Amino acid sequence: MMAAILRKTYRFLASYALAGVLLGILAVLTYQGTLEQVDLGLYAVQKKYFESAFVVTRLFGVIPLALPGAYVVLGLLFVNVIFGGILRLRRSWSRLGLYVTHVGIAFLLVSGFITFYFAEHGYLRLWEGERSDEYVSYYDWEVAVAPSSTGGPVTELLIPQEEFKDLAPDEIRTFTSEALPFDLALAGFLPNAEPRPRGAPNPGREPLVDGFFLKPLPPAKEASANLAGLQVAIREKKSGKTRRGLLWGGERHPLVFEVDGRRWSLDLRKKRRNLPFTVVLDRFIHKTYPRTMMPSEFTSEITKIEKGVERPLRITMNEPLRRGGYTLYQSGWGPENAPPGSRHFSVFAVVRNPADQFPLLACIVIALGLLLHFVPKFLTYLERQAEKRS
Amino acid sequence: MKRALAICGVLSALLFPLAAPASAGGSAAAGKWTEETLRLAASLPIQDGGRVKPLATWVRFRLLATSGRTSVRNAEGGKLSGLEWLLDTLFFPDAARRYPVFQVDDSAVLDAVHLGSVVKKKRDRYSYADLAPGLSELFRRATRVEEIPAKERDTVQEQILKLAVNVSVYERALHFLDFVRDPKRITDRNVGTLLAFLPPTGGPEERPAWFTPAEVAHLASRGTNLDLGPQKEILKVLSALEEVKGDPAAFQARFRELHDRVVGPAKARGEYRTVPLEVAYYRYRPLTWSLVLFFVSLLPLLVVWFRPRARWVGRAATGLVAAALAFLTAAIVARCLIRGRPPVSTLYETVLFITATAGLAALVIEYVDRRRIALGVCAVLGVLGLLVANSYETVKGQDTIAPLIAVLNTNFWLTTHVLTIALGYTAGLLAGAMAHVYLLGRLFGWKRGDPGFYHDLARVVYGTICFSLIFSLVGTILGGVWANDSWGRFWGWDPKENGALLICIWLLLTIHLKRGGYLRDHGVCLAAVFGNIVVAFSWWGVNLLGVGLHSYGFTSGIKRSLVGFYLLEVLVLALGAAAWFRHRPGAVCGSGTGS
Repeated sequence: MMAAILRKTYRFLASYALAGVLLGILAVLTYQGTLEQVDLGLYAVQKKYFESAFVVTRLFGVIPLALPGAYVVLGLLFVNVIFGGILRLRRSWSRLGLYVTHVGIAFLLVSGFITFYFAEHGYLRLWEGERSDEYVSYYDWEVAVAPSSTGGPVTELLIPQEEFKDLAPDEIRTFTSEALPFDLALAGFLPNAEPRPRGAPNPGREPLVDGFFLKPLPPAKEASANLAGLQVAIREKKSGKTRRGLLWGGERHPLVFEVDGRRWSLDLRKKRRNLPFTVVLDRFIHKTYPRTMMPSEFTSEITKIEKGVERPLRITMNEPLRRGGYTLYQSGWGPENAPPGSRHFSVFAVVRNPADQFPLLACIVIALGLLLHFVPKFLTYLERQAEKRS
Repeated sequence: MKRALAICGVLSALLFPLAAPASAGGSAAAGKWTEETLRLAASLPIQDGGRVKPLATWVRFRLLATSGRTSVRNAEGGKLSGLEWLLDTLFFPDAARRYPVFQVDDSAVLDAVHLGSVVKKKRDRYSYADLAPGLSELFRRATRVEEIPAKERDTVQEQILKLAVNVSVYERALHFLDFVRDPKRITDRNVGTLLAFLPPTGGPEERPAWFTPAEVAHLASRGTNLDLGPQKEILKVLSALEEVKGDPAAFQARFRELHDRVVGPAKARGEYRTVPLEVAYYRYRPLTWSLVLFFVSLLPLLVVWFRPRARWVGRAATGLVAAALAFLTAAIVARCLIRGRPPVSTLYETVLFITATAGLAALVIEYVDRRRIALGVCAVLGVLGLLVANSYETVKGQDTIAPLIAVLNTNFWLTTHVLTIALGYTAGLLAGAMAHVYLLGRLFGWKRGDPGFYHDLARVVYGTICFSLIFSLVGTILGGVWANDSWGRFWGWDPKENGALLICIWLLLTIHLKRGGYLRDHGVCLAAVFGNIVVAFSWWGVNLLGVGLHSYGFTSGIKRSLVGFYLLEVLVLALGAAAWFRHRPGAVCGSGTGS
């Protein structure tokens, strides 16, 4: 009985019918997710269609549909490829190409999963002459606490976004450390917000702090443009005295306060991660085609310093720097209207992806598999047609 | 003010005593240009849009943008080539003002600029003189339209803006040589600014930008340490041309001098190498010949479809299609040589490449299949593809051999990803086109007496789908690998990426349903026709959305044509479904195999 159920399940998971249904759903999700980018923006669409378990949508804006999200569909498709395209496939030379192709597809899906779960993305912005060994996340926030200092290294205590992103306005979470003479109580995380002065419309009755409140805003079309907000209460351990504040991602300066005669800074900022080397931007080159504003080249001449060894390198469009599991890409520059000869900054996209080159390998395997399968079939067809004619 | 006077002084010194007295823009009579003058003008190099190109190319696209044509009618109704129009505009501006060159599709534009009651509205082209009373209103309205986001403008607003731009460029042409007639006018906004035909002294790396006459005058007035001697000499020749413009032979001699003085430095800088080829490309029009031959081949093809034994007619059709493909291939090769890059780097070039490769693939299928079906599909695709290319060029009115933005400026990825994905489109469209023959043939009972015909045709369609899968899948993944190298991620669900993915999904779905027995011959052909809609969405449709990282491919002005294509394909699908219903197993009448 159990064996029969397992056999049926296996057959279903390996079936062409399942492949057809999954591919059909994926086609609808991709189509809808493409069109809705115009109104929702890429990030929201990604969350809605491609990183979700379940989607409710209207096909062509009319037909209501409830579908599994691409996350689930791709997972099932992976199972279908393994069972139907690899394990269940009859072993024969004529099917070798199909076998190789499905292995390539499975590998591509695996690389997608690895990227989704393990890849880290961020950016590094450097002015000419500036150096750095850390990059900034596009989306993730952190709260940084440090002694306020005008120079010299300081030790920062960090609270990552995962620790406070679920906090509702009336939900308080307290963070404490032996290294700090105070505790921090965080509440009311807002993914996108804007501080407003007392007297401004406040339909949500957000709490006022020092004459300001944080107004929740809808998510920005470009998720990296969201500016998060958070309420904070600083409770001194000795005196029990509490002061309240608002942390906002768009604030240029950290919140500075004094406890037991020592000044501290508190900052809600985009998460920072370290690189295993230091990058110095020596020169940024921006060329346009003559008599146009059309860019012909963006290049950053950099020096990479690793374990005291300096190495001059260049990062340009389509030629990133790959080193130590990190890849730095030329992604932006500025200021756009700077007069000739003035100082520029360069922006590098920084990616740490364990599956960085997997798609290329998968592509080679898939191409090989498809050629192995279809070329002999085509040759056989040609032979038969020649026989027919003769 | 002092600076303006200084510039006038410099230009007077440059041109005097050759400068002609102010003649208020010349007489109203147009010029008579010798063939040799026009030949020299065609190959005169200028720098425009980021590259050095022949003047003939510049005129062609300026005229397309302004008039939607490559020739002009003068005030008397005589036909002028683009170069004759330009020379008339430069040297006989009073006459050229009366040439009807400005295309206005919607009379609401004329009403908007208060010209509705002034000009006859039952025309679609108007002269500068016709529009003159409404120009200040036109520019005022265009300024307001510019403030409206592009996506929110209606067609009349778009046309107002387009007309204002065209008039503005034309005014720069009308006044281009005013400084020759009156050197004091070099400081005027429109004078001497249109054409950058003066190569700078030095190499292209050191001095990439060519000069307009106005820029030379400005530099000379500032006391630059640049060597402007050669440019000043060219301007003197230009001035002499104005003097002899009424004498065609003398004008030709002077123009040759001007030509040689410009071409010499351009050659020394290595920027003239492909100019003669580009002149020949537009003069001999291989694409037009290709279109004509594809079109003519349809006639013998129609004959052999209904009288298959007419062998000589069949051979004539094959010869015509092969010749058409040869012209098309020659055009693509010429474009590659002109820009020194692989065949596909712009949307326009994808049309040419896909038409050519679909034609070549159809010829291969014809060689194997020998039923004249693939040959016919090849001819029809050739006509349609080249009409699309022609219409795209006319609608855009922009140079189609333009430089590429930084991210596309890589021959490696243009060769690997772009060619592969374009071949995927090719095979997908070819399969869809062959499927049309299957569905419509079944519907109308064509080849009813040949039961194997439709099964064989469906096999060809399925085989072509399989080849489309190879190129689409590999091309899409290669696109991701390219994206990983330029943007830092393999896949970002960008509209263009999604479009390519949709093609792959559709092909995989078709193949899996066929292998699983859910689709048979008729179903595969229906799927192939639907695949045409998917390919069109990926190729053109996503470009209309105006979002995503592939901003260099954003397109406008084709929505109506694209929707028309979708509807046509939906109609074919409906007819195909009707054919299936008619011939389904168990139906009263039916023929062929498959279901």
